[in-house]
Amino acid sequence: MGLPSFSPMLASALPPVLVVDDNPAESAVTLVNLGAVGFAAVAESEGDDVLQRARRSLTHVLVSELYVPCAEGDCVVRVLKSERARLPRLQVLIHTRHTTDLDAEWALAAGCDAFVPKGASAAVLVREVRRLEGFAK
Amino acid sequence: MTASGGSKPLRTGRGEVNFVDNEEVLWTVTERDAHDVPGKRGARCLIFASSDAIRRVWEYPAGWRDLLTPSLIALSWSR
Repeated sequence: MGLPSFSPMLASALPPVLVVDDNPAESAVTLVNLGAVGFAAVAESEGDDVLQRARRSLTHVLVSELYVPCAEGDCVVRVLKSERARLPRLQVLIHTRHTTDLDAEWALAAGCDAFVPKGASAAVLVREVRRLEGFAK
Repeated sequence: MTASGGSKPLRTGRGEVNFVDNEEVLWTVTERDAHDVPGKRGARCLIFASSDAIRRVWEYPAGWRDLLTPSLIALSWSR
């Protein structure tokens, strides 16, 4: 299935999607898939760097591996989602190689807004990022 | 099972609602307590789960279980 299309002009008006992955190859694939449909995206791999960038750029959408620790807690997603006053628009999509039911439950308990296993197609990932960015279906 | 587009979703005895979207993907919807969820936007939320994605929806009508499939599809796209 091809990637769904939408206006790159609309996407370019948004803060870049922040991709968080400790696997450089998988991070690169995610960046390519998002870039192919016009999303600006940047990548981080270390939890503390994720916190700094998300807070600085007022990130709207974070696409993150599941278990990414940081100095402020066991999971960057949980830390950032707890900062609703500072990051009111933050939406988190867990994009992960950890795909059991327990992993999904852990992600939901950490506050994620969407969960996509890495085995899903690029079209599914893009579709779910579009949803979190607030694009019309 | 349900058919997509305009048909009635399948409501189970466990409080779940199942429907099939326009791409023939089966979704299961459940309502959950969200008191302990970081960044919660309400006391409860809906979880839409399919084989390749899970969505959390915070804003939804009290009678969501009575919605027809097109309305559930639209609701699953909200946040």
